[in-house]
Amino acid sequence: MNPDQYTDLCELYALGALDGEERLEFEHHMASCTDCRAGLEQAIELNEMIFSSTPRVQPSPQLRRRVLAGFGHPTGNSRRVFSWAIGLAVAASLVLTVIAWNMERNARLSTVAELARLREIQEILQAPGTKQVQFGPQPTSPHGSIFVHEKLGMILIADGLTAPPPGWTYESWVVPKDGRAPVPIEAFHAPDGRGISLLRSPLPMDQLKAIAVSLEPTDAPVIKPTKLVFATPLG
Amino acid sequence: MKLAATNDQELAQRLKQRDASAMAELYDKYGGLLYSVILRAVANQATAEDLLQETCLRIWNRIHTFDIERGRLEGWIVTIARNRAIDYLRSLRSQPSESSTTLEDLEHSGLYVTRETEAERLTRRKAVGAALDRLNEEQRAVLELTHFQGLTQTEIAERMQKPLGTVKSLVRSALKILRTSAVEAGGTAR
Repeated sequence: MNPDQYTDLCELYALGALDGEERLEFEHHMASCTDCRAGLEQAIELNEMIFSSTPRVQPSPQLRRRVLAGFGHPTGNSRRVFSWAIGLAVAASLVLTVIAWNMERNARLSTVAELARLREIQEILQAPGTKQVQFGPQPTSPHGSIFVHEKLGMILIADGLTAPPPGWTYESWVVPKDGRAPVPIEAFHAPDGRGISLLRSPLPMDQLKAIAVSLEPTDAPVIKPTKLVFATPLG
Repeated sequence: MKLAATNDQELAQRLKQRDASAMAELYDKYGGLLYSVILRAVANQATAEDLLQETCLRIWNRIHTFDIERGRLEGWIVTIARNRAIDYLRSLRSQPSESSTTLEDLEHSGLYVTRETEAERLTRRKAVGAALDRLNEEQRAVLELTHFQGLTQTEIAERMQKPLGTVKSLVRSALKILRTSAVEAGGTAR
């Protein structure tokens, strides 16, 4: 396949519209082609413009109420300025271990999303100033490490997790030091008992109390931890 | 290079802070767009309403993966809305989950990076809109099927009862017209 043909395939891949073999071939090629990755981002942007060209149809006012009811009533002046805090210890050897683990995993990665996420993880792990906190020394219970960089974000790597019940998923949280409600980071899976959660957002380190993990139903808004699995103090 | 409009950055930041009023603002700003995209795909008001609700839930639950500094909020959420509609249509067609997994991967916020000002983006969007009007009937038909029905080229060939090569040629020519118009209006070329 020549370069122009790969360019054509970017838009279709960005739509999930490539057939099986063609999709696999494109993903294989893209894993090692920076031009195609840039092309994919441009293709996604072009597709967005096509979606956005849709003539507007306004939904009913009743739908607005129904949708927003699921997120609680607006508080009017709820523009909270969230700030974070943390005090962390450093263990460079485990950082390198995790980098190696991720590099090994990279060999099995195929999709752009996975590769992008891996790059973000490696950026945090390799950045000067990244701090590490280990938690859960008991091998029979959740254990692992938290890596935090004040400007880049945080990675949680947890082992010893059990499979969530059907309809539930793991959710990671940051817990502020000043008593405000925990803030969810993202849902994550734990195949083989290991889960990784990534937060790409600055973490002002002087006000963060802990990182927590909970179990949450997959079909409901994540507002506050439903079933706490563990919380690791930072500081 | 100037990044995305500050108000979307602020909106995303407040969503990350679990500010429910920010969700109301997001709905007021983009709800019509998201609903229109979903309705165009599923062509059923009740289904579109359910899928819009699902879209908002997904945005709320995943906003913490969104990169406020570099991300393009509108692009990310409109893709989430479109993909919810396509997932629904594929479930009706009993398609395997393989495609759905790919769609979910394509919602990775790192793929929605801002490279231009809002004004530049609007200029390019207008150019693409005008180029859509210049497509012929067959080109428009295949784009409707790829973008708003989630069909693969093979499925389009079956539905339109045309050779696969013809469909690929139609898709390629249509996208080339749109891509060229975007580039000429100030976008980046490969």
